[in-house]
Amino acid sequence: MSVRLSVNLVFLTGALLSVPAFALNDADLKSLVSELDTRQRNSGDYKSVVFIEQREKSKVTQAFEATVFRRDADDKWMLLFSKPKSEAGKGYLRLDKNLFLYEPALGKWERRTDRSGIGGTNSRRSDFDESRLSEEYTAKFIADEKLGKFDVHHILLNAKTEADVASPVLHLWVDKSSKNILKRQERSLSDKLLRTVYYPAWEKKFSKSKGADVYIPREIRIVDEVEKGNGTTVVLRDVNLDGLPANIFTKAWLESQSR
Amino acid sequence: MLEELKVLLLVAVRNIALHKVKSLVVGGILFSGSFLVVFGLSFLGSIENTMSQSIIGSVAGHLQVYSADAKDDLALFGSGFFGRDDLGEIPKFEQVREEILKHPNVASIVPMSFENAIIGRGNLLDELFERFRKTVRSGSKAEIAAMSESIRQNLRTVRTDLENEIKIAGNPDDIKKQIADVDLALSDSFWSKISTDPESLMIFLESKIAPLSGEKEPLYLRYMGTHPELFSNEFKKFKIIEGENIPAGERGILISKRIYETQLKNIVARGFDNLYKGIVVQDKSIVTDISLKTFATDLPKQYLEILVQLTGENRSLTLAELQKFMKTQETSLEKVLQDFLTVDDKNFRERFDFFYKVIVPKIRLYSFNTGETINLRSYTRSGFLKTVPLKIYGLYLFEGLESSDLAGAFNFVDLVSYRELYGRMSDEGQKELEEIRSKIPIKSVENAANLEDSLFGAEAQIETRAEGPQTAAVQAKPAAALEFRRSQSGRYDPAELKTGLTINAAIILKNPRRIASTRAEIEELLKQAKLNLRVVDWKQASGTLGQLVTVIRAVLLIAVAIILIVAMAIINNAIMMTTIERTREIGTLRAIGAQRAFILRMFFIETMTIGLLASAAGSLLAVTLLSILNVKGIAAPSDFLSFIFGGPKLYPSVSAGAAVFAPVAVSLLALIFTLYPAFMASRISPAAAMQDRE
Repeated sequence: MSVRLSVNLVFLTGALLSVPAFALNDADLKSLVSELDTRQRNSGDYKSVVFIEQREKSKVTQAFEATVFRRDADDKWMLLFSKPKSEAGKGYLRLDKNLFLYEPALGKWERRTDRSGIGGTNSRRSDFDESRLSEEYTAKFIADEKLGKFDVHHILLNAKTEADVASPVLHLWVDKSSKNILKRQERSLSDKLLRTVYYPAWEKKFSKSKGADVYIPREIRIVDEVEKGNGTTVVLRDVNLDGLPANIFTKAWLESQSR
Repeated sequence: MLEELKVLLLVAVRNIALHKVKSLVVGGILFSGSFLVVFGLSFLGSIENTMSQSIIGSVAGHLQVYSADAKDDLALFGSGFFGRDDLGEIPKFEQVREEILKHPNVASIVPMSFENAIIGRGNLLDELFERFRKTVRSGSKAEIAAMSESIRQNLRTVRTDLENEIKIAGNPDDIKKQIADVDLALSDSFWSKISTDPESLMIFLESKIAPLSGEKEPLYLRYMGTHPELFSNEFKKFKIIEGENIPAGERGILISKRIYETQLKNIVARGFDNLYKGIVVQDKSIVTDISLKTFATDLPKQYLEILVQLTGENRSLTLAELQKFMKTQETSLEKVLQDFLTVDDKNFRERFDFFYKVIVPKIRLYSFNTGETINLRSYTRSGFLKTVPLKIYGLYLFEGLESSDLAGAFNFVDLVSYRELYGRMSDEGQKELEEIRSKIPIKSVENAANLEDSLFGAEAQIETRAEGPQTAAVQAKPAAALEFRRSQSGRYDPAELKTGLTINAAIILKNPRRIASTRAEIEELLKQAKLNLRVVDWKQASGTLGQLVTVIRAVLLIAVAIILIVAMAIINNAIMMTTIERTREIGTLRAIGAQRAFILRMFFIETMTIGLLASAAGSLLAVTLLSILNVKGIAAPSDFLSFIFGGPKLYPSVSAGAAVFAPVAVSLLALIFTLYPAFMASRISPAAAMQDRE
C-alpha cells in the first residue's frame, strides 16, 4: 500500500493542476482514483528496503528491516526480513490469491490469508503492494477539506462486492494540488474506524520501463484506532525500479536467502 | 428416678407399638433425614478431597500469588468467559520469591503464566505438496516418480469432487476454472516439467491446486510458561510419558497427552478411538447411541485423510490388503477405503484392529511428533501476533487425570519463550532494536492528537524527487546469506527462569493444614515488603471450578434444611394428632396422680426412642453403603467428573463426624418439635378425660 499510496500521490498532484476548486463530479472522481493507481504503478519490477517500527502504547517495541520485491505485471509480491536476527530469513511470498509465509527456523511454508499483519505488526501486505483502488472500490466524493496546511479532497471508497480486500470502506484525503494521498482511514462495514494511515513523504522516481515517474511513499504512519496508543511507522528507502532476475518470485529463491 | 425412667421407657415402647402408623411415619422421616445427612456430607467430603488433590496436584499448588492490580480474578481452569483475563504482572519474580520463601511453612514457589496460542495448519493438499517438495529436493528419481503418480491419483479425486460441486454451485464459472487447473495438473505435459522446471510445477500445485481442498481450522493451544524442572519437582501428579522434560536453558514445549490424542491425532484414528471407547469399553451400540452413530457416519466421509497420505507403493499395498480383508475385487482404493470405513457394531472390532495393524504404520498418525519443532503463534499483550519456534521435547500427563480435559488442557513452555510471546523484549533484543532504529531517522511525535499538525503543518514538505543514478542492479542472491537465529540456538541463561516477569506463581506449603493462616501471613509479609500482590488459596485460584464444592455443599444443606423443616412439621402434626387421640389416657394418668412433668417426660422419651432408633438406622445404612462404594468405587460418567473424582472412579469414605453427629442432631431436632404437643398434652386435666368419656 505504501507504494500504492506514493503512486496515488503523484497522480493527485498532476490531477490537481487540472481539477477545479469545487466538488469533483463523477467522471473527475473516477479519473482521479484511476490516476492514484497509475502514478504509483510501475510497469516493470520494483524493489526497496523497508523499515517497520512498531509502537505499543507509544513505546517502540519492535523494529524490522526487510526488502520488498514486486512484479506488478504478474501480480507477484515478496517481502524478506533481514533484521532483527530472530526474524531474519522469514519471508512472505504472494502468488495469485495465496500468501505464503516462510519460517527458516522450521524450513517450512505456511499458506495464510491476506489479512494477516506483516511480521506481527499493524502493517499489511496491501501496504506494500501495488495500488488497485479503481479496480477494487467505487468512489464517492465527500467534501473539500483542509488537512494541516493542505487543501484536500475527501473521498469515500466502498469495496466492490467481488473484491477481496482487507478493508471494505476507505476514506482518502488527497492533496488537491499535488494529488498525493495524505491520509487514509480504513473502516469496517459497520463504519467502525480501524486504522488511520498518514503519508507525510512521497518520492517521485523516473522509471525506464514505464517511461514516466513512479510515486512512492517514503514514509507511512499507521495509527491503530482499536488499540489506542499502538501504531506502526514504515519507511522505504533504496527504491530500485530496474528489472529483477526472472526466477526471484519462487519459494526456492526465498529459502535460499537464509540457508 | 431410675424406676420412673423404666416406666417411661415401657410406656414409650408400648405407645410406639400401639400407634404403628404414626411411629412409622415419624421414624421413616428421621431415618431418611439421618441417611441423607451422613451420605451427603461424606460424599461431599470425598469429592472435596479428590478435587483438591486434582487442582493442587496439577497446576494450582496450595496458594497462588498475583498482582493486586489485576482487573480479573485468577481462574486457572478458565473463568468461563471468552477473552483474555487481565491479571496484571509480577515484573520482578525474584523479589516475590525471596519474600515468600522467608515464611517457614513455604516449601517452594513456582512461576507460571498462561496464554493461548494458535497453530496454523495447512489442508490435506498443502501437507501433500509439502512432502512432495521435500521429495523433489532430496528424494531419488523413483521416489519422485512414485509421489508424482500419487498426487495425480489424489487430483483425480479432487476433480470428481469439483464435478459434483458444479451441479449445485451458484458460481459454476469459478469451478470450471478450477477444473481446468486440475486438468492441467493432471496432464503429461505438466509433469514433464518435473525434470526441467520443478519449482514452477510445485508453485502451480501449491498456489492453484492446494486452495481447492478448503481451509483447515487452526489449532488453539493453551500454554503455561514456567520453570520446567521446578514444576516437575513440585507437582507430583506431573509425569513425562514420552521424550524428556525441557532441559534447562533450552526453548521448548511439552504437549499434553490428552490434547495429543484428542486434537493432534489423525481424524480417522480419533473416530476409531471414540468408537472403540463406546462400543468395546462402555458396551454401547452405534444403533442406539447418538454420539456413536455420528462418529460412525462421519468415518467414511473422512477417507481423504488417509488416502492422501498413502503414496508410492503403500498405495498398492494397502489396496491389496484391503481387497483381501474386505473380500472384494474393487480396484479403486478410495471406494474400498470408504467401504472399509463404513462400520457397524458387528464389524467394528476387526476393522479397528486392521486399521491400527495395517493402515496406521503407513500414515502419519499425529500432526507433530516429539523432537519436531512447531511455530507457536500468540497475541502479545498489545494485540500483535508474535511467533516463536519451539521444539517438542515430550508428552506429559497428570497421573490419575489421564482422561480429564480440564487437567489435560495445558501445554508447558519455558518461561523465557513465554515472555517473548508475551511481547517482553530481552536486553539483547532491546539493544538490537535500538541499533536498527538508529539507522532510520523517524520524526518522533508525542501523541496522535498533534500528529496531523506535525505531519502536515507549515513546514511540511511532502514531495521530493529521487535524484542521482539508479542503484546497482539487484543481485539474485545477496553476497552472504542472512544471519538468522535458528530455534535450537536460542539458548538462554537458566537463571532467567527465576528472575524477571511472570504473571502468577504457585506456592507449595510444607503443612497444607495451615493454609488459611499461612495465606494471611504471606499477605502480611508482602505488604511489609511493599509488594502489591494478592494471595489466594487453590479454591479461589481455580475459578468457578473451585467454587463448585461450595455450591454443592450449599445446595445440599439447603435441601436437608428444607426436608427437615417439612419433616418436623409432619412430626409435630403427627404428635398433636396422637395427643388428641390419647386425651382419655392422659386424663386418666393425671387422675391417678401423674404430674404434668411426668406427662412431658413421657412424650420426650417416646420421641427420643423413635428418633435415636430411626436415625441411627439411617446413619448405619449410609455407612454400609459408603463402605461398599469405598471398595467398588463410583465410575465417573464424564471426563469432567473424572477430574472432580480425581480419576476414573470415586472411592467415597465415611465421615465419622457426620455418622455420629447426624443421629444426635436429628433426634434433638425431633425433640424440639415435640415440645409444643407435649406441653399441650400436659395441660389435659382429669376432668377433661372424664368429659371425653361422657
